[in-house]
Amino acid sequence: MSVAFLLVLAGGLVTSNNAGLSVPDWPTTQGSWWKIPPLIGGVKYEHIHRMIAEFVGLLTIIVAIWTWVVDKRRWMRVLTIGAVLGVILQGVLGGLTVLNLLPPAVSTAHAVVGQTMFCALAAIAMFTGRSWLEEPVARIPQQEARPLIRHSWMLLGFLYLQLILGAAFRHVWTKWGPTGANRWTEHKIIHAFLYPHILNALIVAGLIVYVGLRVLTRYRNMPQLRRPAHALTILLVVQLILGFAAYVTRVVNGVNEVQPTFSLVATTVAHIGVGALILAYAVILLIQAYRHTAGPEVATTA
Amino acid sequence: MKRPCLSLLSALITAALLGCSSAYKPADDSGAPQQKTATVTVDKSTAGGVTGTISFKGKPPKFPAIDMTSDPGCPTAPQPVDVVVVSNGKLANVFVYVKEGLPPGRFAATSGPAVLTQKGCSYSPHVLGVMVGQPLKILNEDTAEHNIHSMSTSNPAFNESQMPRGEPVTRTFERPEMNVPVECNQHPWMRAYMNVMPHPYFAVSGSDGTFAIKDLPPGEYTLAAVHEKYGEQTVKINVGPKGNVKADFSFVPAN
Repeated sequence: MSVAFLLVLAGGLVTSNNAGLSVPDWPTTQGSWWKIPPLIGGVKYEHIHRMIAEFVGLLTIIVAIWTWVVDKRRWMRVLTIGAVLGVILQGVLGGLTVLNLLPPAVSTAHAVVGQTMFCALAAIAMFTGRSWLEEPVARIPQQEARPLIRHSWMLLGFLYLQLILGAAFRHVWTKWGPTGANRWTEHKIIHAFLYPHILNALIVAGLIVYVGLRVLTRYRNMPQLRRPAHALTILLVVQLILGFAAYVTRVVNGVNEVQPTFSLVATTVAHIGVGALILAYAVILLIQAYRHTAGPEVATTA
Repeated sequence: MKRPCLSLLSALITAALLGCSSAYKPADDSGAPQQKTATVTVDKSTAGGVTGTISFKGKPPKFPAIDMTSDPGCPTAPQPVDVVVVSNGKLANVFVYVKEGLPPGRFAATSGPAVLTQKGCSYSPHVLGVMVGQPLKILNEDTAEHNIHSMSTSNPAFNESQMPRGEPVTRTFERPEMNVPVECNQHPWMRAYMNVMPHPYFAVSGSDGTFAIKDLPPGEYTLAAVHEKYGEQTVKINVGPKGNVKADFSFVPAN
């Protein structure tokens, strides 16, 4: 999980430093399968990203094999195999985006699948944790759980839209924007992707506040629900501040910068990282909401 | 009801992302390959030319110096930015070219390659012109490794590594194309602009703001001057036999 989170940050560092094409070949690096090139300039970001990705791939395979050996739950085995396939897909998307010189659609897909895989690994970590193996301390009647589940699904949907818009904004900006091929004006990119991203942020914020308050006021006694709700509300505040800072450093101050500034890189990478955490906690909350929903017989007696 | 909405939204996003490449067309960029028509022959005994100066009115923008210390093969001292180079009110790195008025037909490519050199982790020249069919030779005189990433849209884009003082990379281009950024992703400050021209009537303003275009057949032309930050300006000129026309341009800071 921690290595996967590092991988998300390393991916953000590659884009923010405009280093995605510093190593033109893939799957080799400067013609070699195993040699580590001098970690200088853009190569440092791109090759470290590749090395962490390989390590995450290896760890995911180990987890899948381990699960097949020790875990009797069939769905867990399927999930870990799915995670391995997802990691492979993610690697191929990374290769395609390098070989095709960063087409925004592929680069955006790479960002979205990357965070999806992070969520999948977070779910695997949760499913194999002690708290999952123990019975919940209490359950929510089915009728009462329905709105929580419905709003958690809505939150997840709008978070994905947010992720797509944010990734598309960054990748279109890098490829076609004023610091890229200069074929799209900053106004056009901002109107197409950033304003919808900001508008959608308000919807996401509203949903997090609603879901968070619902959980923290009604189900405080259920730690598996309380913890992700707590985390979501705190991360929301951090993310809104980071989003504003990233806007200032890239759009307000960054258009005329000839090299990425530390503040631009730091705020953007932090914004991506916290975004990934929010998505993962939303997935965990949704799964825990299902888990804490009482069966039909409990619902009728409640 | 929700599904069609989501499908429509995803289709719109996909279309926007995929459609990015065709969204911008510079004025002179038809993107058409060079026609296999007759070669235009210019009678040099009657040919004239155009000279001029590019001025910059107002206060040039200030850019923070470039810190290149992330690579030991690059200069250790902070380096000036070459985006807006103004000296005594004269603007360098403006690409001046004949935009309209030339006789139809194909112009033979200039003999010898155009050269783009990576030196001191910067491109020299910062702006260059190359004719369709003329080789572009890219040199690395640095002890640093570079990658050469051309962001062409009408011609095939490319990205290639070049080792320290490595073998030159040579490319030719089949289609006219304006303002093609060439960048190095190992050193994000490195950026040059390449203009692929269908004829040899172009020049780049020097540090004193002057330019000269020679051997222009007599006629009426639209002369254009384009700067990477301040866009394009045009002027009509009339070149008589053996005449030398003066055409000056003046750029002002963008709001």
